[in-house]
Amino acid sequence: MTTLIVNLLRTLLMDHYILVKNCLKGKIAAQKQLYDLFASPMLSVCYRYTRSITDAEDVLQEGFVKVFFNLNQYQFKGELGAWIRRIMVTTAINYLKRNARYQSELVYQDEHLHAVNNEAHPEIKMEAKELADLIRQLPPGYQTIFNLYAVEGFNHVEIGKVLGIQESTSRSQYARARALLIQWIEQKDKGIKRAVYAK
Amino acid sequence: MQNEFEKQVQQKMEELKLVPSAPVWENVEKQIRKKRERKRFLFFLLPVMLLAGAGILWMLEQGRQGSLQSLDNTTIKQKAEKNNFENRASNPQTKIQTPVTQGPEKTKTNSEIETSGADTKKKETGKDPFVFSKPFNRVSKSKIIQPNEEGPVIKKLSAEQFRQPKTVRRKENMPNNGVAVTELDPKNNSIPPPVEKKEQFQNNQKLLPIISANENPKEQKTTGGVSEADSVKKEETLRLVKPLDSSAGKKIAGAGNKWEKIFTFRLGESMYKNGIFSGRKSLMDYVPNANTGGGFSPVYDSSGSGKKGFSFAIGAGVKKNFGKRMELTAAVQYHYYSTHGKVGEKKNGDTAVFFWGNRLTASGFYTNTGTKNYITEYGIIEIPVSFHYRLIKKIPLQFSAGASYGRLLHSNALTFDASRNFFYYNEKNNVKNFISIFSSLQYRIFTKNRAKIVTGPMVQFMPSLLQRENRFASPHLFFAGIKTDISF
Repeated sequence: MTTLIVNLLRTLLMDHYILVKNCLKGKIAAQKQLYDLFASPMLSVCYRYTRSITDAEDVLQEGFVKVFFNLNQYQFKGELGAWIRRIMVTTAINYLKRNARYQSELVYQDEHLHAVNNEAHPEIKMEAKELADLIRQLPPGYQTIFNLYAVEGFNHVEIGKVLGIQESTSRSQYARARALLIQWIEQKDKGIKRAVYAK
Repeated sequence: MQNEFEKQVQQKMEELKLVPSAPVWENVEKQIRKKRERKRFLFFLLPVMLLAGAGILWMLEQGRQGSLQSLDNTTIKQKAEKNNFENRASNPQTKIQTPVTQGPEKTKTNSEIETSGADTKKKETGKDPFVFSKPFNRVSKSKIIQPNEEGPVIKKLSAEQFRQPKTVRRKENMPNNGVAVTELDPKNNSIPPPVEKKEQFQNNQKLLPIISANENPKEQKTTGGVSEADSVKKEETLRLVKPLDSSAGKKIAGAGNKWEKIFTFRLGESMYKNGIFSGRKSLMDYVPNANTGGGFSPVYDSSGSGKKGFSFAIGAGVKKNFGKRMELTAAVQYHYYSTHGKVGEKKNGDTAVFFWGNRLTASGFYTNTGTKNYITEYGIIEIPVSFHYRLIKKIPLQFSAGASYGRLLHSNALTFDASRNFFYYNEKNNVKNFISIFSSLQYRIFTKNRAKIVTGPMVQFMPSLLQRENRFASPHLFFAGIKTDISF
């Protein structure tokens, strides 16, 4: 009984409770409010999975339509932002699979690649957007796996299930993507240093 | 397990903020409206289709009845007349003094009245007045005549009125030409040299495209319930997006429940029952045995009468959840019942009958030869209140039981006069108020939609009698069919 009351109070005190309820009632103003609240962070999520801002906005649009039509499944357990983010990630992955521009590059190797040194962890000095742009220049297969593992926190088993690949493939692809990204970050850092030293 | 590099990447990505362009929301709003309209259209399509289906069935039934009657007119008419009317006409004891419009003091036998009436109409219209496609009982009503009163002026109906057939009045893509707020700086994209890219993909010649295998949209929902200890954050994320199955979550969700609107539909068959567990036995089941030549002692004919008929109900109401498993619904609905029975030839003309010690005038009657199909209809407005209980927590299967109050709107049920062995319409014999009990087993479908649909088989029994006086049977209505409730 106490648990029920505590949970009830917690739910009612949640900022998004009334907002979600109003969205479920079909109130456009509430839906716009929800969109304004989460559009910016979610565009960042979509941006990391796609190659252009236009594609990212397409994914964002599709994702928000899904959010509004599945909002009744959100049962106020956990953060609303995390729930929406999950929808955006799924939408982005499906967008890549569907879109012809990504299909040719969206391939995952089943064979184990040569071992890559993954122990290196350089300090990232660049801006968030610069790093995001670097991630976006990874081949789409690498890019998706890197985003899912490093940013979203999926493990390789889950990545395998989401992408329909083997766990070992996910591991090797991630290792390759990570090594490539570290290499680029180091090059970028050297370039910055050179530029600084030039001054 | 994520190391320092992944944590830094995560942190940097959290800092990334981009602002979408204005057309994105416009397109989202447009799509929401479009989908909502589509849903609304589908929602209204269902009852319209049900009604249309009911109408078509009704029309087909009418057509069948009409053809049966035509056949009877040519083949059975003479036999029916011979079996019933000639016998009765020759028996002076069956003569009833019936006041008719032709003369206040004039006395005629039944056969005289009927024959003269029929002859007159035949002369007027040139057609056989015994051909009816519509039950006469809706046209005229019985009137009680007090014993000391002088007989009333009987309303005479033309054959044209009887012959009138029953009629049913029926009636995207975002243009994205908006300027992206975050423009890509080509200078920032210059780090990975194109040569490196090419080299990398040249190494991947054996890459297999698995896109087609991944195109199953169900994968969107694949969250992978497996949790590894290598990522604390991942576990949190999973927990947040996992569908609720804990009791606390459901209690929270249930706490916000209010009265929900429901639309209820029933489609099935109705029939007469003498009791819930007894066989078919009703007023319509008593027809003269052919072997006795249409005698007056009714015998139970189990072969062809009292058959089930089409039934449907449509209504609206409210629903409220009580806890995780229980629901209560209340609604108002129109319920149409019909049964098929057998009567004989339709005889036009007024005749006197006795009902509850009162003398009535029936405007026509059906003989009891069991040669013609007759659809008995009941239109009842019902207020069902039902209680639903979810039997198994994980399966959306619910057992429902309830009761309803009904008020008769219209009926063409016939009353059987045993002494004269015919059926006639007597509105006063129809019971107006009913109590029904019902039970159903319903399964919830489309659980992911906002509109929840529960559907399943149901049975309904009406313990109330349908007629006040019935010497041979106590018909109760029984309904069996599919019940569908849409709540949102």
